[in-house]
Amino acid sequence: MTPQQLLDAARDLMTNPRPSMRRCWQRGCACLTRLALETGLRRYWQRHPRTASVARSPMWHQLIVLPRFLDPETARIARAAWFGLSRAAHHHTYELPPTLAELGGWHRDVTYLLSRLDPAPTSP
Amino acid sequence: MTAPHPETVDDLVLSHLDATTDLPEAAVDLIVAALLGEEEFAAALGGTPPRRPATPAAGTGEPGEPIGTYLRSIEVTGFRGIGPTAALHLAPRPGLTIVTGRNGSGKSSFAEAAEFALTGDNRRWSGRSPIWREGWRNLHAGDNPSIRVHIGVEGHRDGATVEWNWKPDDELADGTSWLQLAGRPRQSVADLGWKVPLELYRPFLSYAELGGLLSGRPSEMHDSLYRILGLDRLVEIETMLKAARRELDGLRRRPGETLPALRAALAEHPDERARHAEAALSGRVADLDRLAGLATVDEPEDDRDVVPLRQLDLLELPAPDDVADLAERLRTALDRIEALADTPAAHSRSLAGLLRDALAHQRTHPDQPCPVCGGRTLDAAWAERTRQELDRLNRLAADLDEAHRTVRESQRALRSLVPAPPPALAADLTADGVDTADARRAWQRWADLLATDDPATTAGTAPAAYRELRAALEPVQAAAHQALQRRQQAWQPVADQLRAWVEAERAARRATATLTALKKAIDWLRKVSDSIRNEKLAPVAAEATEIWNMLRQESNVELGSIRLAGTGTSRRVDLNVSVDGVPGAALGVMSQGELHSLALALFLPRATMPESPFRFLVIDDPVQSMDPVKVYGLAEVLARVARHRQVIVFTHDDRLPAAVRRLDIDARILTVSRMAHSRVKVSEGGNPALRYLADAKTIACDTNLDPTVRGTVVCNLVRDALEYACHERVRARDFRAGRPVAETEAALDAARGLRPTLALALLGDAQRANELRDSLRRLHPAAPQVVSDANNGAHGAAGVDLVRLVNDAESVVERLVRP
Repeated sequence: MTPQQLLDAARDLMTNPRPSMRRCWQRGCACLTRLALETGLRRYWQRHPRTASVARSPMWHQLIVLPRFLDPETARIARAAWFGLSRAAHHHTYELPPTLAELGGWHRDVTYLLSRLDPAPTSP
Repeated sequence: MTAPHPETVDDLVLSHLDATTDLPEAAVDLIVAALLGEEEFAAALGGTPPRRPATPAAGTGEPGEPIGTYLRSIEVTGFRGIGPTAALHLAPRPGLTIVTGRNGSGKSSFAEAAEFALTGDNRRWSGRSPIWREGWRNLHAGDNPSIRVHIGVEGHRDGATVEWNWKPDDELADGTSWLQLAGRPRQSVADLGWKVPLELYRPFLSYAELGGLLSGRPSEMHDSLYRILGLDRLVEIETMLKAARRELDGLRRRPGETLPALRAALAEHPDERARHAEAALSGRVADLDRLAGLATVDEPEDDRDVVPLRQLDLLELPAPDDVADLAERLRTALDRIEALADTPAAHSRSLAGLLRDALAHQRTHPDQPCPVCGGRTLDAAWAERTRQELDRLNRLAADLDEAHRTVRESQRALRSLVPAPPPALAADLTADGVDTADARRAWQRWADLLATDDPATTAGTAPAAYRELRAALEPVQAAAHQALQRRQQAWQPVADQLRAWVEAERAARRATATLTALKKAIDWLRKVSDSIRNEKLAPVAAEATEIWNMLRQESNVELGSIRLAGTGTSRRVDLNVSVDGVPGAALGVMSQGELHSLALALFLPRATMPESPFRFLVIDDPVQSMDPVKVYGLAEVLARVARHRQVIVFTHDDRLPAAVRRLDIDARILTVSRMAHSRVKVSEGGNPALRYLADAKTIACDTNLDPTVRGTVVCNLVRDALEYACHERVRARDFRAGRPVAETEAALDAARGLRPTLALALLGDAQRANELRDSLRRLHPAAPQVVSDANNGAHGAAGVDLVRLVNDAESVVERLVRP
């Protein structure tokens, strides 16, 4: 699936959750959004032979490397979104699933990030 | 993150005044005078136009920022959760410090200690039952608790210290405190002059306080915003004008209120002046000059009875001796005439005439017989004898003439010595208790006596008659005098009342004129107050809205305009809040966490006003009841504030530090932990340099990565870590040296690149980058290599052992930040 398809699926879960998903649509939505970000990032690295190796590293490493290729502000948004989504996608005892508004916010952030990740990385 | 704050309320009022055209000059004068103070205002009410400040905007404009203060350390012994001495060292400069610690670790004790030391109170306990205040002593510490707060003062080499000490049995409030500026004797903490700023820009905020900010009465929030914005000055001016209006209104009414009493007093007073006063009062507008005259003139001139009384009172008669002397002279002259009566003197005059003629005849016909008797010859001898006789006769005649003249003169003198009986004696003054009958009769007798042609009688009886006259007049005069005084006493109170009323009426007329202007001034001020307060509020409101928008993250509550509304008891802060785009009824729809965020949004601009001397901000546990996602927003907001302020945040969980780490925010994290017996330890939990190096290590170990990418990223991160460490070193050193923060930041900004930055940090001059080698070696043996690798590696770093580079960099960074 392309990042955009993943985002669309996440949007669909948000606006129109199927009855079978009524207990886990938030986590599902967060999971899909995060996957869209990760896929987008991986595609970003793969667009240039020199950075292709980054795509195989853990996400955390990719996020550390990102500000060296993209502007720091965008990298910061990526970090915040990824950590927020990771937290929301996993079960945490005593912690409630994210709200619709929070999910919407991440969705918006990732949509923006994908647009920034569209061109190939330029060397630092 | 500072609100622009160009004009004081006074300036705003003056500039509004300049723009106003329809306000009468008198009203303008009153407002200007009120701005100048009580004294000027009182003078203006009295009609003196105030001296208007020449160029108001230039004169009082820029209030000037006070000298900034930062917290350098908080040392606590035996206070609350802290037993043996523990110190929290802070970087006294703008920046974010997060102090984390579990509940009960003692982190809040630091916050409370600092707040107590500087303010002498603590919001968390104040207003609570004594039980809260009794537990302040730590059980595990010695008997002498103390708090010592070191303050860094911008632009001063060494700061100041505020210290509190308690003796074994002291209550919390009994502690002794002192303030010491470096190199100066100890003084009272009050000398900091922080009493008012602490109220206005309170740099301490706890969780409980955040809740209270919005849940309190609406008027409290209104008032606190009002004070911060300096708008209470507006209230002050309005109060002054209103007080004056009340006073003038009272003045205006007073004559009307006292008039009936005055009328009644006049009506029942018998004095003639009362009638005149009534007449003067009867017109539509009272004749004040005439009334004032009546109140001050002693007695009315045209009073029927007063004139004779005053005449009698003033009557002055000659002394009896004078009369006796004259009578004596008269009698002597009369005696003399008597004595000469049978002598030739009586005929001497005719005889002298005859002899004179005979002598004249003898001169023309000498030596002839007397033509009268034809006897003897009138010769020279005869002539000689006759001349002598003639002289004698002439002397006698002169003597007699003299005596007669004396009689006439004495009589005349007696008559003129005592005046004719005054008409007053003829008046009937019995109503005033003056009986003139005896005196009148005595005086008549005296007049009769003098009128007789018999000077002998006059001479004989004048002294006695005169004594009688005086004796008779004496009681009359005394009675007249008393009558006058009685009248005076009866009129005096009425005169006083009249005078008071005239003064009141004059004041009332002046007041009426001023009152018109004053009312216009008050109306005008009320009109411009609205725009002034919103002008003043605008920057703060804009900032609060901005902060809210960062804080709220994905909240569906949107904060629009903030307005100060209402007056008196209905005063409040209008928060224009919309939920999902629908304007809503503000606070009611917001959750507790959102309310906290909103309070924080309103509080932060207040605590970061340029007028505040506090460049530090202590926030205790703002994260509670915040959604995880909002914590990210909070971290960003705090980072923003920390660009210009020293922000110290105490928090009990890891959410805020985690957000800081993930967002790559420049912040120091300190961890407070508490061991047995209340031993509290503060350890460095992370700073950006350590985080950069941790990231660098992660990437250095990722062998899967393309070597060029790996080398580039690691070297970049190492360089970031080194630069951060350099910045910290420079900031700490400059602040200690008393260099203004802005100057330091400018110098850091100018030093672009790693080597200039290192030169600035190690040699104090960014220009000396090529002299770095030795000082780098002195700093750490590996330092020259680390710096060179970090610089070159950014472009490939082929052949560099990245893991070793990061490890060496850690040592170098540690050396760099060590003070």
